[in-house]
Amino acid sequence: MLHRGSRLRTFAFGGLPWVLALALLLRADALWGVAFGWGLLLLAAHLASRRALAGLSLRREVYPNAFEGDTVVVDLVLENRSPRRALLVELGDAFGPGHADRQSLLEPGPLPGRCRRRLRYRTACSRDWGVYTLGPLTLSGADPAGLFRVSVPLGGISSFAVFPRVHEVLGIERIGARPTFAPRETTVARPGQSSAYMGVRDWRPEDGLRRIHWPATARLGSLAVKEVEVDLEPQFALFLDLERGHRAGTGRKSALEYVVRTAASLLWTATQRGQSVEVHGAAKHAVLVPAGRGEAHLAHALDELIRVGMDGTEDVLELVERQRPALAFGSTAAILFATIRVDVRRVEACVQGLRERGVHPLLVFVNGDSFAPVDKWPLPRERMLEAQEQLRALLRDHGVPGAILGVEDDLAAELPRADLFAGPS
Amino acid sequence: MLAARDLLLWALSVLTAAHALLAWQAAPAAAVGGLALLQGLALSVAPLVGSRVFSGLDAVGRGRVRVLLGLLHAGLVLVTPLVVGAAPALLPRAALLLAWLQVPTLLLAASEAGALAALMNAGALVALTALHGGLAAASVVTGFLPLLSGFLVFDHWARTLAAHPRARVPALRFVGARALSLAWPVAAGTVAFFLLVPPRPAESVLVAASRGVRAEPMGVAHRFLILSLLLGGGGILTAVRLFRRSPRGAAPSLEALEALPLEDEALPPEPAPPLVPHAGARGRILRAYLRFLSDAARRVPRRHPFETAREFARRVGEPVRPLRTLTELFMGARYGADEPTERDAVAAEGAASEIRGAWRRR
Repeated sequence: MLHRGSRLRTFAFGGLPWVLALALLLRADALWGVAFGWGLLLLAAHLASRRALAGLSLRREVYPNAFEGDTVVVDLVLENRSPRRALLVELGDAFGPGHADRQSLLEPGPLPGRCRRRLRYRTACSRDWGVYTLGPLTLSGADPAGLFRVSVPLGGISSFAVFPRVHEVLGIERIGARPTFAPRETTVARPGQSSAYMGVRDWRPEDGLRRIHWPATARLGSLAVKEVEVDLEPQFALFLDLERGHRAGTGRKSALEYVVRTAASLLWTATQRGQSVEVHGAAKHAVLVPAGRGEAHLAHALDELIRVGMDGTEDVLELVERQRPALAFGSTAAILFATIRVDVRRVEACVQGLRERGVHPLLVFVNGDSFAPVDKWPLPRERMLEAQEQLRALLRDHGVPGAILGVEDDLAAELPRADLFAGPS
Repeated sequence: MLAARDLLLWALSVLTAAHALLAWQAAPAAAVGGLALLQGLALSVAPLVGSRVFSGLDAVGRGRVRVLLGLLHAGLVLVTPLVVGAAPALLPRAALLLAWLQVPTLLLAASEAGALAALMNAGALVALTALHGGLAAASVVTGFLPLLSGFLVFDHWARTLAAHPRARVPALRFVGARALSLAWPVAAGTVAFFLLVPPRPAESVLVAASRGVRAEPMGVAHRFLILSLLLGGGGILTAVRLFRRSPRGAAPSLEALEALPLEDEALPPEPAPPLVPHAGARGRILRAYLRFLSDAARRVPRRHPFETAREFARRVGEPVRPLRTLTELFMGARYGADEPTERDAVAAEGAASEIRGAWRRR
């Protein structure tokens, strides 16, 4: 809001009745003159205040998402459609992820008539990941003396997504992913449709005439075709455990927080390495991000990720089982469990099933019992250690890359560790 | 901006003090000149001294001394003109007291409370001069109100810019023009008033002059003054306690950010208003809607060619009822098969007027 000179405003408004009272009691003509002039001053100010915002409008332009802690640039476009110039206009905005409730900018002017001015402000995403509201936008102005203020709400309410801060998961190297400038060149040595040459074989009628390799045909004396390899897009499928029964902890130390932050970092790293990522989760509202690559796809995946809640009823292993036929050969399937209370034999079966399809499994367990309990008693310490030991044995025995994360682990320090998936310590 | 504000406050103080002192012959012209210099000096050191004085006062009794002094001063300036109006013998002394009191108030004028004290003091001096009547009264009122307008304008700008320390400061001439735009109607109106009604002295002053009352009964008048001060201060304190609104909940936190101006762009010229080929009720409804669009273009971004009337109404938002009425009548008149009735045309024109009225009131 514009500066509230409450004392001087009180003087300006209270002075008139005081002078009128004096004029009435003392019967002095000049005091009536003071009252008349004072009234004129208030009237002129009131009339000027009604014109203060005439013809002005405001709109916001901002990229609709950012990571935690990022600096965000917001453009406000102020339009003056009236022929008069505008002076001392205050622009108000509410940037939900920011620390302050409202942001205020001053355009002292002069903004000429029939003109548009673009103003920029910078703020920071100070709050945790989630979906926030931007707006409403407001325009405030006043008469020249600031006695009568006017403020107009202009709407402009929109949403803004704040993604969790991501860390490069270096341990992902262990599961076969590698940085590449041309990820589409990764192929498998099986006859397919890629541009990578594999060899020459005899022509068969189903090949068609266009595929005949004429130099080889001339050399061999019979029709021959060139064989190329199968494209193998490096794919990264992420399965989230969003089962309601696995809720634990509150705030930053909760199972959901660990699942979402770890998932975001995995997705980020996989995308940076040129992999095609997809996300599956069975919450109340199903999370399904089909395979895709690039920053826009990552933004979409993260946007879906920050909207999840642990309110699902389906077991994550069932979800993997259902999706398994659709997983491409050579892809990676990362399963993010929100608990360590899992049936080891079912996990073993799942790993086995994935490997049969040529899919590399990656298992990450968030130890929900290490967080403050929400709606169920935590495992006793001995049983918790025993469960963790069973999972370690599973990872070790089957040579599956994986990790167990608990309340004592700082994700910012753990996720970038190169040996994160080398085997839980 | 601050220099202009201080200059106006000084001019206002000197004007009112000089008029009061000279009109009531409370001090010679040389003393008035000295007082003006002293007031200028006080105002020039105000930024340094004011905050120290306030912090010193706040250190004693957790700010109660400051509140008490403020109340006493407010009581003095509010009640004095009334009291001395009833006892004109006290007028020269009251003028002298308030004129000298202006010096310490100007020392505190860097703060809002100090500026308020100085303005109240000046207002009381104007009231004292007004009791004298004649040219002195007319000239002090004619000078005081435009100077007050100018001071309020510059003070408002200075405080607003202080609240946004990284904002650009516009050229002084723009602020000066704003101050003039507010001050000239006030000055012109006051001059016209005094041309029509030349100010006579207050009735009590006339009575005192006719009876030859000079210096009696001074003791009674002084007691009356002190009693009035106490009553005035107590009355203000009671009123503040009674009517002060306690804040509800925590105030929203506000972040003053720097606005970086990127570029200015001229808006495209307004397209010519389309002609309405229809006559009768249909034409009246269409013309009412076009008038509404023309008004709306000054408030919200113009209606796009791809935007339906209902979509545009949703975007405009307020006022809901007449907007809905006008939009529906327009849809019927523009796309409907039936000829609208005279009643529909009146309703559409009424809705358009209602929308325009609501926007003007905002």
